[in-house]
Amino acid sequence: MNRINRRQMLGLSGAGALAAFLAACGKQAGVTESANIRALGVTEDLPGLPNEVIDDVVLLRTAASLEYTAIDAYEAALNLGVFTGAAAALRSVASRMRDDHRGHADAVNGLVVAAGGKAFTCANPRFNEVYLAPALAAITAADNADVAGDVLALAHGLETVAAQTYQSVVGLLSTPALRRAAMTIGQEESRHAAVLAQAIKPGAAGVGPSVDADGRALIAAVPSAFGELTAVPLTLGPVRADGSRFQVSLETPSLNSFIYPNVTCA
Amino acid sequence: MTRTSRTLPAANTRPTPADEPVIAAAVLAERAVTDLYETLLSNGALSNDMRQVAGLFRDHHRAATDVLKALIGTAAPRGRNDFVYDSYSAAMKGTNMSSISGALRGIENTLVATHLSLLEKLEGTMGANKIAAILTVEARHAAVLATLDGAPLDAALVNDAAPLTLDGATS
Repeated sequence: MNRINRRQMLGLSGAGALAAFLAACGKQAGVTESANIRALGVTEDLPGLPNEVIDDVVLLRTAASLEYTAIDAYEAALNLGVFTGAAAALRSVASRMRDDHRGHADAVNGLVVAAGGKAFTCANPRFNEVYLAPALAAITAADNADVAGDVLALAHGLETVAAQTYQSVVGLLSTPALRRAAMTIGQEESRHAAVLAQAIKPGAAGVGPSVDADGRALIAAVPSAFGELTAVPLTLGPVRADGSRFQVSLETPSLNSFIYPNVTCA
Repeated sequence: MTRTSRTLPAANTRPTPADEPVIAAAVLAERAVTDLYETLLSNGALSNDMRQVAGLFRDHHRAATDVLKALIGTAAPRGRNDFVYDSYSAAMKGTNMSSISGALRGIENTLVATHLSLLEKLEGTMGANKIAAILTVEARHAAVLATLDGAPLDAALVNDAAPLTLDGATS
């Protein structure tokens, strides 16, 4: 008679449990496979993210989108009717700068097409959503006492960021000819910014960096010895109940605001 | 928004041997303009406002000279672009502020045009980035000089100056 001792019994029961476990993990007869039923030890491949290469076309389409953002901003400013009285002379300045941006947009889109891309002929959606729309809402708030001043500050900020954008892509563009073309436009944006800074704070006192009584940096026509790529802070709109005002820091376009080939005008 | 991964272009590249004479030309031009502002600042007829602005702009050109020199190290030239200095030094000693301002605007615009032309010759992106950061400020200089002088808007926004060639004269 075969006798099974306690040790053998424990070994057999362990093997039986393992067999039952493996059977539960495997396919079962008569059970339809479904993607909705997960089996232990079997996972599907995760879908990979599509890779977007940031090349000349993406950088230039992004620059074109900022030109259209600037055009839209000047159009909005001109339609506010604030360039009257002492600010009447600024109407022709704003019109001129809007027209310059139209020329820049055409020039940049020419480069886009020459580089094998598709022209982008509308404003940067991310930039508009994050910066321009909130800024315009603050400026046009019913109790804003200095709409014209805020419009100038916004225009100066946009021109500064536009100039920074061209400067920032110089090292990323693939050819020296494109770098020159970008900075030919970029230096014109810098001139716009300087002219607007002088409109905000005229004369020699408004040329170099300075601060107000509270130590806050004031807008300067030439704030530094080299073109900066730092954020441009803006304070706009009416004073709120808590004494604060709407604040935003404009930054050059980056990964979330680049105009990739799959981005189209709405 | 579609989530994506992104591939950025290559990082900064140092100046190549072919870049050295290009950056050297920029050093000589910047030093000539620094010296022109020095000459202007010794002009007793200068208004206080113009003195303040000229001092600031001289410092910017000096900083640009130093940064460009650092890019090419021992290959950096001594001296200045005499063509530029000699072309404008007499104007820096005048007494008419508007004439001085017009000459300064011409100097700044010439530098901007020169740097733009050098950008097209540079192979390394480190040099290109530095030149871009310099010329964008010099464009502001030119616009400010026009604005302070009460010149028409075109004078502030349009640059029709000819660039300097690598051997120092205008093209």
